[in-house]
Amino acid sequence: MSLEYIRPRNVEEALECLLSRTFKILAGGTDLVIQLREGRHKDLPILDISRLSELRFIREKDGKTVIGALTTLSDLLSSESLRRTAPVLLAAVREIGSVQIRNMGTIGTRFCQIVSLGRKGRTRTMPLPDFLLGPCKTVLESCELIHSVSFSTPPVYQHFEKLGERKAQAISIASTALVSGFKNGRLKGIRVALGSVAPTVIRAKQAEAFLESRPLTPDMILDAGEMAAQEASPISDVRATAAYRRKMVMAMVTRGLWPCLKEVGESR
Amino acid sequence: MEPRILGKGVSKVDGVKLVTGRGGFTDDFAIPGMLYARTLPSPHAHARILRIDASKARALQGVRAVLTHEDVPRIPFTTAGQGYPEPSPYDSVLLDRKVRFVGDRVAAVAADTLAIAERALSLIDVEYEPLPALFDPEKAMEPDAPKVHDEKDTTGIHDRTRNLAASVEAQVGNVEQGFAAADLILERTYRVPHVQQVPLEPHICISYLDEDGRLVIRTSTQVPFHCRRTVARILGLPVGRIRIIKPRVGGGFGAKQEILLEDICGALTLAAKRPVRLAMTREEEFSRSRTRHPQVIRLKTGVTKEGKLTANEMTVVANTGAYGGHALTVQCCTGSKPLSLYKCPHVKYQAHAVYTNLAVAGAYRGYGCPQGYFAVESQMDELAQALQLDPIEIRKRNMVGLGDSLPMAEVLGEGKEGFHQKIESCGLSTCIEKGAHAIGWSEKRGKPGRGPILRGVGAACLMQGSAIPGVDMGSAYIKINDDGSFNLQVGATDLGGGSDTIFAQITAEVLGISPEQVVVYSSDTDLTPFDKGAYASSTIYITGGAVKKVAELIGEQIVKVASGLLSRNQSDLRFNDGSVVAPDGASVTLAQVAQHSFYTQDQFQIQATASHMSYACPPPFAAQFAEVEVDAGTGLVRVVKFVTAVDCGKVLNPPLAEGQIEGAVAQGLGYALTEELRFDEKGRIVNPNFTDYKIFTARDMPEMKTILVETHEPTGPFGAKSVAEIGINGPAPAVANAVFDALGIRFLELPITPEKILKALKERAPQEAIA
Ligand SMILES: Cc1cc2nc3c(=O)[nH]c(=O)nc-3n(C[C@H](O)[C@H](O)[C@H](O)COP(=O)(O)OP(=O)(O)OC[C@H]3O[C@@H](n4cnc5c(N)ncnc54)[C@H](O)[C@@H]3O)c2cc1C
Repeated sequence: MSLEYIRPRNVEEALECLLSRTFKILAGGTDLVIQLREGRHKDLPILDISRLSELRFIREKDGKTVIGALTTLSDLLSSESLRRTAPVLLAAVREIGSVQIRNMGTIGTRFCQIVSLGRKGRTRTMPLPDFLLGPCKTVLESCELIHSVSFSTPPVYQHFEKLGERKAQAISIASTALVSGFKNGRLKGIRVALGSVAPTVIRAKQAEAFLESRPLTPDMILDAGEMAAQEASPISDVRATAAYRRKMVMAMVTRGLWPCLKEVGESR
Repeated sequence: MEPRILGKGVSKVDGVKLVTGRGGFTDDFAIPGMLYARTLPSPHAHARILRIDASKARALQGVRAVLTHEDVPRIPFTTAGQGYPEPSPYDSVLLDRKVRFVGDRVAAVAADTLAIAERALSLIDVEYEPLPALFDPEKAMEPDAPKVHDEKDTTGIHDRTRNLAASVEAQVGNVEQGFAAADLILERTYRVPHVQQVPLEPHICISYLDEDGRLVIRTSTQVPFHCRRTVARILGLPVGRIRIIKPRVGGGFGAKQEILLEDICGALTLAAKRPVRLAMTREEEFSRSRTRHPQVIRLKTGVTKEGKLTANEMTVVANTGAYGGHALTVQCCTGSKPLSLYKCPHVKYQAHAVYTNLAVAGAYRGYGCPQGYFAVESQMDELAQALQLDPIEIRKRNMVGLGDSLPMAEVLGEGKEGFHQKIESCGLSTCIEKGAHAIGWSEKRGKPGRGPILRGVGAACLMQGSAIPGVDMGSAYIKINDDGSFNLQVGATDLGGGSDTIFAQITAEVLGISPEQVVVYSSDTDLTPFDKGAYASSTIYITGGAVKKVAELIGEQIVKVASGLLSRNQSDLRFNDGSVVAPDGASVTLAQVAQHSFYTQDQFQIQATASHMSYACPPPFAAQFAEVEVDAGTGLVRVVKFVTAVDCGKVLNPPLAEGQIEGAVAQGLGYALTEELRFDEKGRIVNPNFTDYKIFTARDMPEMKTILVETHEPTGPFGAKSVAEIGINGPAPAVANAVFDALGIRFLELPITPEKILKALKERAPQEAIA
């Protein structure tokens, strides 16, 4: 097997390359190298951006965190500022693969609200849901690369849970991330994200709206879990059945919400 | 006398080269001009090959040999590497006109590169006539079921017309009488899945012709001598024209007690007259290596009010898959060992090993026992519960002990009737006591707590054997060198477990030297004497016995020379730290003895060889304890702590013994909770990779405690018994019993997955299912 491989010196050069022809971009390679070994992308040259240090940064400013696309998962884990502002992100990152995968793998688009795509002379920025089209499908064009991702500092209450068939190196059966603030006995700014139970990561928006609509009660938590389970559209595969996944959404969302009861009480 | 070297944590003799990556594995060698081979897997579970055309593949540049069934003679054999005559049917041929499972071998190619070989495979044009496929062993036994093996030239198949590879039946006493005497009879059906050995190093071999035109095969095998004999048969060569070399091996666990690559690799070398390398991919390792026999086990037990067993009747239907290697003997062991642990006057065992068109079963650490113990040890707990006894108490009331004989082992044997067995060492009650203490049995049992996380502890008792009595033989050769070092040559097969190290220790112990003075060379059919191979927990017990004998013979020769040199009586001389010493302090070094014998007078080589076999098969005993947490919300089981207390006789090397237990426990926990090969409706494995076939990782492992309870086995070398397999038997029943303690729900089917747990919780009480 032979392949064509180019390693640009800086982002400018990378963008020029991308404009001239179609490449397969290589960052940490933890996904791509597996795909290459499976014989995919046979005819595409490789553009190795892994050493572009311009894209490896974590910046926090005015309640907003911007992370360069080449920041590794391990970089995130050792970031003081993320530990303060977004423990939910780190909890999720900790569950990815193994130490080796986290040392090589980059954040790409995995956890964020906003994605910035760079192309020569222009940058476009969009919310994550607009970026994701489906499993392994995004709006990224062949002349673009992901420049950075960003999010505004999430509210204080943060919860993440991943369910796999074992602890390490397990593709998740289902996962849940939950953040919320509290005001006057209510949840404020609640976000419920569900992984592995729909074609892309989704938010349980009905459950979110319901949870903000009135002061939190135990019954509401059970109902919200039920709603989130209905908002999911899981499939059955070798890891779990759809029915089990739905049950897990219910279990994990309610479990994430129970501690809020106490916090809500204190916010009255 | 206290041993100096045995019983110590001597470092592995191959440790440095392994951890420094200097390797020595099969794939660490490349031979100039070596070709790369691949085999074509069957896409069908069951089909006849109507036409096979390899002409395009042969025409491809860089292809050096292509073999299909049209190119090779049809000589039935068994892939099982066992003593001769093998107690397994001769139901395989090198390449067949029929395929019997997805992944079955259709053709083979050797080419200049792997990529060319792959491409050549895709150019082989095969026309199949798909046949109805059998996946369910119980259906496969029905009279009108399709026949997996309908050829006339196979031998040793129990009943071809009913797809029975093997059947076995044995009885001690009369179970009808035993059930009549019972106050309580419990009957349950247990089911255990397909699991795979997953050695880290997949099967691999490299074959070539030496300068004399002899066929040399370097291979990752557990059974070099059986491999040589079987390959000779398949390729029509005299045994003396074949040499098998076993380099370092990255684990086998039974999967390499098979001849799966060496035959076709050798055939390609003969065809191309070139060195050939053939290795399995991980996917092939799952699909066409070997698995543990899935079984449906019906167990009926009678017991008195006092908890004494009156009768035990076990009926097994095992799925051997497309071929029947080990089918008889594995099923024999399911009965002979688990049904021998408890004294019971009336015991009956019946097993059928049935052909289907699924992955092939074979030898896997434990060899039928993990299946049987899951049933027996779950059943003992349920009986205890019914009688309101502590699970440990019911075991104590029934377990065998010193002086007891093992009638089931005698009537069942392993492929043929066995030999009378009497227990001459047994530390089981100490194992139970120490293990229970370490897990906190009395404080923790029966206290699940209140959801969502429920806790439980569970126990299982076990025994295994040490070698196949009256069958297994091992031998060893030693010679001295000028400097007082020794070469030890053994046919025995170190798979990573450390037998080479223990042999060095035994030699050093007898001759009063340090283990570094012993250069161990093992497993080369040209240079080392015969050995049965690494299986049946036999290597230390059998070959260790041969090494002890040969070292003692060497000792006698050395003493004789030394006595002449020192002018002292032979009987007064002792070995001490590289010298032979007389009571008055006069001494000669072993180097002086060696040099004297080589160069000075009555010159000769101090050398000896010895063999060892045994009619006794002393069982090691163990008690295993699991502590679990069950998440009632998700159904996930977390094993918090796992304790094994094991009596393996005298412990010759504690870290190696612990390593055997810990590795076995890791595999046993996978069996209990996460491992299962799954098949689609066409018989294809849907999880042939480490992403979807879940073995326990380091992060999943519980806190482990291994307690070595020493006894002295009079028939073993320095009092040793086996330790390699026993530890894999208990995790499944111990975990199932612990889950019962936590939830009050008994699981009769492995693996105990979160989905099964949630379903059972829901069936019991719909609201409780969601915590
Ligand atoms: C053993 C293992 C376990 C894993 N476990 C998990 C897990 O538990 N959870 C999980 O979420 N993931 C898991 N992964 C996936 C892993 O997280 C991702 O592989 C990693 O984050 C991808 O980063 P990378 O830099 O290695 O991407 P690469 O492999 O370099 O690239 C992946 C894809 O993204 C494209 N790409 C990369 N960077 C850019 C960019 N800046 N602009 C545009 N396109 C780009 C590439 O062209 C390619 O198509 C696992 C992977 C492995 C191998």
